[in-house]
Amino acid sequence: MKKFLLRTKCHFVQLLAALLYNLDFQGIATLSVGKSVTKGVCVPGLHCYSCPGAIGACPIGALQQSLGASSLKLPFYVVGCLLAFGALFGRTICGWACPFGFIQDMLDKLGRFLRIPKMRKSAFTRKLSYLKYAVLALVVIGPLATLAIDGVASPLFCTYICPAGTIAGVALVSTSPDLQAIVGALFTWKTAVLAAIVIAAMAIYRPFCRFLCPLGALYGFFNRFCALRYVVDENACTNCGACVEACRMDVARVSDHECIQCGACKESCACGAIRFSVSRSSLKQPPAIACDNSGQEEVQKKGK
Amino acid sequence: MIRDEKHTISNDGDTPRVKRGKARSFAWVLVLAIGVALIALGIAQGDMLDTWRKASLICYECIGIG
Repeated sequence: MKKFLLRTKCHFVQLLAALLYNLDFQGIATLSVGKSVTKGVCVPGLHCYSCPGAIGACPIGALQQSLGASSLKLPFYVVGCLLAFGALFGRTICGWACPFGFIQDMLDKLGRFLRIPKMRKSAFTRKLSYLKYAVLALVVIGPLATLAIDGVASPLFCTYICPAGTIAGVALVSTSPDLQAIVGALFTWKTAVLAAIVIAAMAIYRPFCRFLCPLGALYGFFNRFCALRYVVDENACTNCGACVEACRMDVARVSDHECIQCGACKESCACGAIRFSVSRSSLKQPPAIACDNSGQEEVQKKGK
Repeated sequence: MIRDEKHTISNDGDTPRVKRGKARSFAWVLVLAIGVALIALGIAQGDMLDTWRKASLICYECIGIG
């Protein structure tokens, strides 16, 4: 029941975040890209600024655009936004405030409903999770390399990989004869990539987040020290590994670079050793709860 | 130095693990401050305007048109 309530709360927050990212109702109604002042503000999650409803800028798209600008200014603004989001939230954004993460969670549920066999995490998926760091390198190096070679910077991640942009593209192309007249092989490729991710998400938990997302890779660096994260009470923890077992991401420990702070580990901990960093219990000194190997709990007051 | 069964506690009363935990507790403040400073610097040099210019037009590469 607690797990159900946690997941429901998480999906509610995800839905709210997705709605907040897409408040340009006029853009949605007319299927056109908005020009409001807020489009200059980076949103924390992966959300293409070419989506008709988008009110903010995608940080990865903005980073590539800044790096590829011919003026070669250092991208202080976008890097500052990424540092601020990372320091505050880390990959909590992935778990609670990313529209594409929400879409993958819903596809995961659809896969369960359709009884599609799930691929469990393994040593292979953990190794594959490092692929997103290569994608992150592409985000940074790609625009600089294409600028140096051609004199024109190309946002390689957005152009060839990003599924969020493809969703926006499908919406725009489907209703615009002008755009339909100029689609070509690239659109076919991007649609195929999107379709592959959608199908994979029904059999594999969050495949894009785990293996391809450069934003998740970036935020992962902040996970061990960000303000909002799950923390483990080392005195209460018995190293039973139930938290890692319950986690569907490729974590080696709670709040490592793969953790999306979903809270599944907290629900699985028999000793109550895992808590959110800003939970009420963290405001005062919590009692140390230790479990013996049989799972019985002893409560020891931590006194001075 | 005081020793207990599991950890070596230094004279200020904290184990190395607790010290690391305390350092992590404040690391985010430092990174956040750097981030805010960079945002301010970026806005001053017109980065936010550049981002707005790009974001307020259809990104043909992003949607697959090229």
